[in-house]
Amino acid sequence: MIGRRLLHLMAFAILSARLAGAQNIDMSTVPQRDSVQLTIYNGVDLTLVRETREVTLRKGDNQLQFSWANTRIDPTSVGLEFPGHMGDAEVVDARFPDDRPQTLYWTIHAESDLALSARITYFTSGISWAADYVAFADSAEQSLQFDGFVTITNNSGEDYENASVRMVVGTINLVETIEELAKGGNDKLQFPWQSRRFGVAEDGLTGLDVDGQSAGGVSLGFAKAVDNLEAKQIVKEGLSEYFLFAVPGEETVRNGWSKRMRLFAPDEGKKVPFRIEYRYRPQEYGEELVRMFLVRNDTASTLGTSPLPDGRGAALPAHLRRRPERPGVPPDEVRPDRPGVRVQPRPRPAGDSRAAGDGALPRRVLVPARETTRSSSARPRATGSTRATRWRAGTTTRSASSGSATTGTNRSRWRGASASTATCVS
Amino acid sequence: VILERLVMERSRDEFWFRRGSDEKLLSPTKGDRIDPSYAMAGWDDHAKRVDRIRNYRGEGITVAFRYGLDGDLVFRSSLKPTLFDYRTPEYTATVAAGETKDLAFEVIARQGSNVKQQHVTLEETR
Repeated sequence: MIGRRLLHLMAFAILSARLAGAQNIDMSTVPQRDSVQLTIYNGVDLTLVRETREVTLRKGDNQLQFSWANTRIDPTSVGLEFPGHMGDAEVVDARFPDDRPQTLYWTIHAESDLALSARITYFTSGISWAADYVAFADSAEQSLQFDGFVTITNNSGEDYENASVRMVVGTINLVETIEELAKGGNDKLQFPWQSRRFGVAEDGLTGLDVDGQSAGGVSLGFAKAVDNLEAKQIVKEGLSEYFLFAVPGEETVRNGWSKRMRLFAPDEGKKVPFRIEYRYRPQEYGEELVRMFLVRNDTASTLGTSPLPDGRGAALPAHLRRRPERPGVPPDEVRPDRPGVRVQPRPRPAGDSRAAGDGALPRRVLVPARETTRSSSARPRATGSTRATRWRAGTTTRSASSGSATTGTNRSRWRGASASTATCVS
Repeated sequence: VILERLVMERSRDEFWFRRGSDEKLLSPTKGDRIDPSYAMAGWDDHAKRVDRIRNYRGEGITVAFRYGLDGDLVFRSSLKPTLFDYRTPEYTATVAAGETKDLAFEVIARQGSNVKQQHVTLEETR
């Protein structure tokens, strides 16, 4: 299949010292990949691959060929070393032949006949991971049942079988992307320290505030489906400015496939206390009043002390868990405690993939029946004494259901108000 | 929960005029005589606004506001706002179940020669 299994550590060539420089290369040994470790960075298209292969060297100069055709490996980043054999074997040079594109040859000098483990490291693009969350509120809206998942996607052109996978939370800054370097060919070769600069984003470790606005496209059907996922506790640890999430055991990540795993341990995220806050922050959430489910990322909340990686989330009210026959659809009947209130679907702006403030639901607008539009003719009724009072900076409270003022000092003229109003519903 | 952002009243004051190429600014409120040929140099825009919250929920809610304002501004209110940054006032209100609350404030935007610095100044309502 095109694009699969195209990385070759093709051959281990044996040349004695007296044959060094000869054109005939012995390709009799093809070392297998013994182990592979993927360190996937979030936010940039970058994965560090560290693989080991058992190789046999003869005394003198040996040649090793490495090819990356049809993969997205950054050729400038490929490195070879022999851990634990310092002085026994040494990489003399690396050559990029003109007649063999996307191939390099290492010349390795061995002091004696050796069988040893070679570690090959390189950067590749095309492997990514993303986190997502599903949270169900209880009926009292006091606590959430919180589930988190990570999905690893491999589009690198290479299968990675039985790989240990680590994911880095935090944002690094690349001057050039690996994909560009991989396409560049030998004529654009630069060494890593010349081509790449790392930095830490200002808020790379920001945790996730779970809110309805970030919910998108996660339905109850999906939430039920993931219940059957194999439970695998991801180990989290700090790494300088970053956090490293390690998937225990080994995973096979085939090219073109995605793999999804649970982020939380079984005892995490079961009953997470939260509070609701409505926010009007147009610079962050647009010109809408949004309802936030605010969760603390700490031990008391059973979410642990390491930051949750950024990701998409769905915070759903309790009644959706009880009504799996209508996944993702809110009840549209009139609430009995709100006489005169009807439910009116509100069209979402084109291209807006965000979900409503009531979870991952289509936004609904609750509008009193007589106030479906805001205009001078459809203004809420105010009692006679309040309409004539002067405006004063401060607060006025009234009954929301009746529309009449309970304090008689702060209402003002409605003149000109209709052209300048903005209504936000959550 | 419904939020309505209303502008209740707009007005202008603090007019300053420039006489020809003269750099001196003249103000009628300071007693200067203003000729119709003088060009207007600066003024203050006043906007009296109300953030109206209707809480149709069965329990009280907390609503937090934070929005940036551009210009040399005065944010005058009794909402006890604080500044998130030099141009962003923020304040919080609680609204009981079934209640409608009006959060009134006045934004004074200095214009023309009245502009001194791009920032927001908080003032308690007098």
